[in-house]
Amino acid sequence: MKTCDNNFYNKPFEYIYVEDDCAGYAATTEHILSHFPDATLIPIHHYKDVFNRKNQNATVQRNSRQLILAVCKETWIYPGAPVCQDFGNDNFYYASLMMNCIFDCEYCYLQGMYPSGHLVVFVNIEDCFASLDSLLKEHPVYLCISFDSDLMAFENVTGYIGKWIEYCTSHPDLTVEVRTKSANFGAISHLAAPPNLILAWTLTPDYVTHNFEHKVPGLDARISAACLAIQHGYKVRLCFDPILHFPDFKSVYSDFFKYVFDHISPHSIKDVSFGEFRVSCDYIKKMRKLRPASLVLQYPYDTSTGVATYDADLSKTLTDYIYQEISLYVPSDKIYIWKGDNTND
Amino acid sequence: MIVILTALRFEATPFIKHYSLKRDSSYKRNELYRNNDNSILLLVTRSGKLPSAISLTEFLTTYKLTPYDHLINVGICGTSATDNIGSVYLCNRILDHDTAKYYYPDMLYSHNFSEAGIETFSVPVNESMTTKESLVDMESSALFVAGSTFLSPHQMHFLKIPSDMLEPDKVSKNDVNTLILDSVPIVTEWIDHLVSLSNAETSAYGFPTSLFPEEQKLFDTISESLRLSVTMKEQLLQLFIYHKLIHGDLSDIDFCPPIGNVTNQKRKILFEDLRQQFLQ
Ligand code: SF4
Repeated sequence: MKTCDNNFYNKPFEYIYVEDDCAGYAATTEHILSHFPDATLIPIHHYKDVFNRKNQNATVQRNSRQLILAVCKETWIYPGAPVCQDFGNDNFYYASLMMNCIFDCEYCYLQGMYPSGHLVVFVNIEDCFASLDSLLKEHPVYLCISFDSDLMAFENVTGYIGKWIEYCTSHPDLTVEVRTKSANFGAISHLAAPPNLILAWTLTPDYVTHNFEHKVPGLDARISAACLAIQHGYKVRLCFDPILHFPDFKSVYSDFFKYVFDHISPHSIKDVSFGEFRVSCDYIKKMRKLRPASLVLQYPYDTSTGVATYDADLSKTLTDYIYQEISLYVPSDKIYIWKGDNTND
Repeated sequence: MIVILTALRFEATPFIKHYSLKRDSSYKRNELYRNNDNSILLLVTRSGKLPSAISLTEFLTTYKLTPYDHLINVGICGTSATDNIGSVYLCNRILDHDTAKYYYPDMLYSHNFSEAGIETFSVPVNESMTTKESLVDMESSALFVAGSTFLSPHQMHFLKIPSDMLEPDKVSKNDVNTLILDSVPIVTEWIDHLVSLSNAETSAYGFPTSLFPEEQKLFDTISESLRLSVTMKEQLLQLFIYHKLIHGDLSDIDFCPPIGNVTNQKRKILFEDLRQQFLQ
């Protein structure tokens, strides 16, 4: 019996579901499949036949995540949602090249958004560039390409950030943000940094990583990756998101910011952002069902605005404290706060 | 809990013997068997799409399964390839011949079986019929559809033992008995792994978000004496769950129902006080 860590679950990606239409995008499909030579390939007609099955349990599926290769036939580029940080950009969009993430953060909204714990990669990235070509004819675009996944963590398999770097170089009206918790900068370190691509590392204190982030690189690994990116000339943003409330949060965050800015010079980064925990009420209901023992999800958040977040008093305490702490290191014009109205303080 | 599903009684017999299952005489509509600790049940669903789907639906409305319980459909099937006969197959996709719709059980667990797709027909399949998958039967798609109403796709498994080359009439009961008997060691080894996993996961993750009777009593007392709105009741339930997660129980919660009329303002204040107590 093929056992993985004696826990009876298959290793990740032992099964890959391949949409029939992927045949039309053979180069990317084969490139991805070449990383999983022993996987069992199961042909499917449409990715939703697997990804959108009824009653899937993403928590259990996370023990043995499988990959679905698909062709995106719908919208590639979406306007940014109010719960996202827009960094003062008017034409703020995000693109969904992958659905779901190889990491497993208990607080991740993707659990509420997607019906499955398996990963989908759209293989027709060239069609995404074509959609963007049209949009860029209308106005400049600020685009987040790693919201519904962690593209950097999967870069060895897809090579997609490399393709975005190439696209950015020839499209100066586009600004791309790649958000990540990965330490995998090595996968793109050989590529010249375009001025209009921002690598945004989400950093969290060890307390948060140990308790709520599973299979995620630790703080030191993320900091090292960010430093390396800066050395290679990349624009780097630091995201402290989500800010969580827990016993001793003041001393934990205070020590954390000191540690971060002792290792990453505030002058070397583009900017920082932070935002307290926030998830739409529809999502949190589903997330709580999936993780009944999760302290971060079962906290009785205020849901009166349709978004589950800390109540107004606690929110102010948290925001004021975190802002004050970050201000010790970073000038205020480089600090972006998510406050529900997307204002830049 | 693992529930073995077989279409016919003679497919069930070797498993009933192996696990020393006893007939549950209180379950009337189908034959249901169980072992002493209820970790393994066996349901004989009868053959064919409709009868098997109805039997399973009735079972799943009677027994509420948790996300860590599993259904395993074990049975003989037809095949279009001679080599397949006698091996045990775990089906990784199921085609319903009548609707041309595919279903996909989640393939999360390691195993030593061969794998194949299976096509489910409403009538016995013979050589003159065209098949798209290498295995054929008369239950799988129906069981998957019926089961999906109650369960997740990681909880349904289809183990098939090919017995004939689309010539069902040429297979004797004896041949089938031998095939099933031969499969018992490999199938039960896998079932035993699933039982252990199911037990371990139930105790590790089965945190009860519902309230015990005493807790429900406290919940009702607070709700009624403060005349809580539906939203406030939802908030209260969340406070109960959170407090139990942190402290294990609610024994430190101190609530004295207020005397006299509770105005809206007073209710708000009392609820906030209570909230702070729960968050400690
Ligand atoms: S790294 Fe980001 S996308 Fe991935 S699980 Fe964590 S929060 Fe979600």
